Amino acid sequence: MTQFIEQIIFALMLSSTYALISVGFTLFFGAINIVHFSHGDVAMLGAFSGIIIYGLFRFMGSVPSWLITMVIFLLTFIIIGFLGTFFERTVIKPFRKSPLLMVLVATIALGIVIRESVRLFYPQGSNPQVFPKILPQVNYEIGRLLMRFDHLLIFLISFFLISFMFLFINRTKTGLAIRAISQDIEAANLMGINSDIIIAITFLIGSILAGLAGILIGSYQTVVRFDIGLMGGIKGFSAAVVGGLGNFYGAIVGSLILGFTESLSSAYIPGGAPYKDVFAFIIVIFFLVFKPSGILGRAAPIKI
Amino acid sequence: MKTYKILFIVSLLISFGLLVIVSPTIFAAEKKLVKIGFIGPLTGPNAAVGLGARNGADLAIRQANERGDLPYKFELVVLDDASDPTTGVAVATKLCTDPMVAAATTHFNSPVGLATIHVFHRYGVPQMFWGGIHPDITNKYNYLEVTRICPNTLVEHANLAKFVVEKLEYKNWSIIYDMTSYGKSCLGAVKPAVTKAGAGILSEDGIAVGTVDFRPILSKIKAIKPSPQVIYFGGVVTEASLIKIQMSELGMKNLYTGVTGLDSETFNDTAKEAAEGTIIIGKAHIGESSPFVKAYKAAGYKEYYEATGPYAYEAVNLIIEAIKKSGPEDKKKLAKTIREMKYRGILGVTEFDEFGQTLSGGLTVKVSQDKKWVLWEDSEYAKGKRSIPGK
Repeated sequence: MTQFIEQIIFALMLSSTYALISVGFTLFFGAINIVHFSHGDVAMLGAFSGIIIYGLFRFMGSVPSWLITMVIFLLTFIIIGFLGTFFERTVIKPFRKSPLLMVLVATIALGIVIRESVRLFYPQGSNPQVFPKILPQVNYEIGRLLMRFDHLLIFLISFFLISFMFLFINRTKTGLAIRAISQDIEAANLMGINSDIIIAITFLIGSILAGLAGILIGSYQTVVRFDIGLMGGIKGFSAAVVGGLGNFYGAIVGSLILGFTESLSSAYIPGGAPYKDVFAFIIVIFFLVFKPSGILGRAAPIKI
Repeated sequence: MKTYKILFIVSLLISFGLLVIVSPTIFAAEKKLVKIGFIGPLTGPNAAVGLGARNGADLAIRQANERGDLPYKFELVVLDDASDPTTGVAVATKLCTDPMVAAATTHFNSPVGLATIHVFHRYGVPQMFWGGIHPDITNKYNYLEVTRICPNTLVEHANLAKFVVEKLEYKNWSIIYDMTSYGKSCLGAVKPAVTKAGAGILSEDGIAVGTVDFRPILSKIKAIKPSPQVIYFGGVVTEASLIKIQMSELGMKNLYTGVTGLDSETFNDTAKEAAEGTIIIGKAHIGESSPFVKAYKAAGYKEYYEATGPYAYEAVNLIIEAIKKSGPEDKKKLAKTIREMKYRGILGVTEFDEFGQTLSGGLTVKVSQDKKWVLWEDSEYAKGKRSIPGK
């Protein structure tokens, strides 16, 4: 029983790391109709910015750890927000009027550039880097069950970020403008919405979300490497597809399905651990074949 | 347009002329050039160990050229296999088709080695493994060209069982292994070694390389009754350190062991405090004050020499020694010479068995103490100041 509860907790944690990424995909697809394939790599940048900021703090001696944590979140917020806007300017904007495929290829290329830059320019970038323990390391023992406070925090912050995202898109004026653009960019322009600024804002928000997700994923995995964004991005994207690209609840449902499949198949299928990704992607393929719009997605005439 | 064309042709002619005039004078003054190949993972997940080995090989070449006691000028041809068998075969073919290449030292990853031995065999180029410890590399085909200067999995696991089961008396084992050919060969070697020494195996779990979340498997192992004393991992550092970190997260106090796949300071750097008390069969011990390390530091390489640098260094030195005996031209003779060598170097005495596998390789027992691999004899664990986990 203890083991089962433990497994459920691990599955939930894994799902929440996927959800953080897949909500980003949903934002980009639902709002401006693009699949931003370097989204996972932006999250990786967030994790590395966390490591670097923590490293800088270590030189300054005695700073309370809660302050370090706050500053890491805040600075990553700023750095990745800035980078995200920069990427939008250089990689996405020039292709505004081109076919969607061009943007797709451009973001894949951007992902490679980000990954390889980290690998080459970060000291010993090919090696896994330890992510600092920035969250309080407190354990609670309930019977034989070991509960970790930092895991709980990661889960709660993820929940908060995703809810915030949801409210932002649905309840604020900017959010409505983003959705208006996704429906008909020309009509939105005629209504006085500046699409350039709105798309830039979408990227700003999406990138910040990815950056903070990077910190949380780093904290959970304890180790990050230059290429975590690749698999993370694919998993996040798959989760969004399973749930229905463009639908917030769908992204969460998709992440839960993927996370639980992976976690439980490695725990309860004998010899299943090495094939957990296989099980997860079989589900993805199943959905692509039988329900391409995803669980909660609307049937759309064009999908990537 | 026309003037450009004429200019282009004239400049081409001039450069050709210069080449014809200059090149004989260059070559005449030089000793005969002999190339020695190096293949290893210089990019990708194992880049760190690959670069360490490359530097080791490079150091041996530099020293041979500085000594200048042979009528040859050596050159290291460095190629990257990126831990990928397909790439490995491509670069091995490129290397073997170069007639100037006398011999090569190759590969960290067994799957790559298992693919390229056939290439080296076909071209008859002597190939000495500085890494890659799958038994099949040497034993399955027993090609004359193929030798290995590092100990293979069978030798390593026999040592591991001898130490952990017989000396420390740990009887219940849980095994985790990665699904690569290296991980599977570890599984194939650890099971008979451990059971022969009198211990029992309670569970076996495979994992895919690149997995970052081992909590489901560990939680399963934690629930086994009676609980295992030892958790053994057959794989390499990245996954190994993650497993140890997550073990301590889950409050598991089993003894954690492995073989040379874990023997890199990257393990300690990654697992930090969690690494404490891990016991492994490690590669040869090369002290900080040894001539190799001094020369390595003096040469100013950017990367750490890792556990692999000394093996590549020894391999190139052994090849050069063999070339000294039988010359670089007849590669078959060279391969035979290598097999019959009895070479004394930084790893002690290297001799090959009938399969081309080194008999020694200088294996050690190491324990992680204060975030560093320490030789068992020198550790506080051996002296009884600290107690080993899992009892």
